[in-house]
Amino acid sequence: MLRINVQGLTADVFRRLQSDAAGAGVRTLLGDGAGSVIHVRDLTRTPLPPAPFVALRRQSIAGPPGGPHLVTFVWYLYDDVAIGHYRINGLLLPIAQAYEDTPLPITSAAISAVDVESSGDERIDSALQRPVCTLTLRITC
Amino acid sequence: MSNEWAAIFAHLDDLGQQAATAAAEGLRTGAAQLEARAKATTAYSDDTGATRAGTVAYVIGGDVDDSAAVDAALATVETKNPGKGLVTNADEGITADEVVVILTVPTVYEDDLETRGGGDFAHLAPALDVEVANLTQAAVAGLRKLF
Repeated sequence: MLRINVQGLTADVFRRLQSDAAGAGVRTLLGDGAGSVIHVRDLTRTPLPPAPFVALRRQSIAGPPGGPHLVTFVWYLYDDVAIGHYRINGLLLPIAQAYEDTPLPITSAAISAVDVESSGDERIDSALQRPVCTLTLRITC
Repeated sequence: MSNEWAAIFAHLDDLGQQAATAAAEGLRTGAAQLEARAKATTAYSDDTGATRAGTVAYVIGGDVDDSAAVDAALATVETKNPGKGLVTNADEGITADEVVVILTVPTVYEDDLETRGGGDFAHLAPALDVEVANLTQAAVAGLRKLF
């Protein structure tokens, strides 16, 4: 049995950048502050938020019944083609700090560790024709 | 250095190599499970069959070098989708002290699959995240046969 509220945890992770005080520094670097924080399912909407913007995917849940569980989230960071990758590269550290410096609330899961990682790869999302890089959060609950 | 110390260090070096080989042999089980999970995805349509058939996980470390598996995967990709194979360099930079599992698809479009549409078609990273604990257990199982 899953001992975590996955939807709640997803909301907590999302809210960290969209509205939490701990994510305020990140929002100042986005095209439209909280309006530039979306879920990946909203990448199909038109128009997309002002760039740079970030989109959250809950990638996977791993672990035996009864836990512990490893829940992986990926933030996709996008900018305009004309800008390239430099602004979103500059977002990686502030986003990582938003999770590392202030613990997530424990309302949805008993979190024992949050690991933040970015490959540093600079890619083009061929579906959106935009520069993208990613930041992965691995949360042990 | 005395002969005794030299012998001790030589023995420790040998033990380290044996441990690396034991872990790598254990990881073969984990790599097979990882590959199966990555192939079982429904994240993409796989029009030619090249991605699914070319998905490969293999082990390098100690006396184990299964990198021929990626050559076979590349040949498979070229059969199913000619001209779309990619010689990967995923195992470059691995040192003699490391034991690694590499999960890859040797196609020119794999990076795009992992990224496009905010990861809509990603299958390698999600599989790895789910299997990472099993990989650890597989390495430990290999080491237990040594100690």
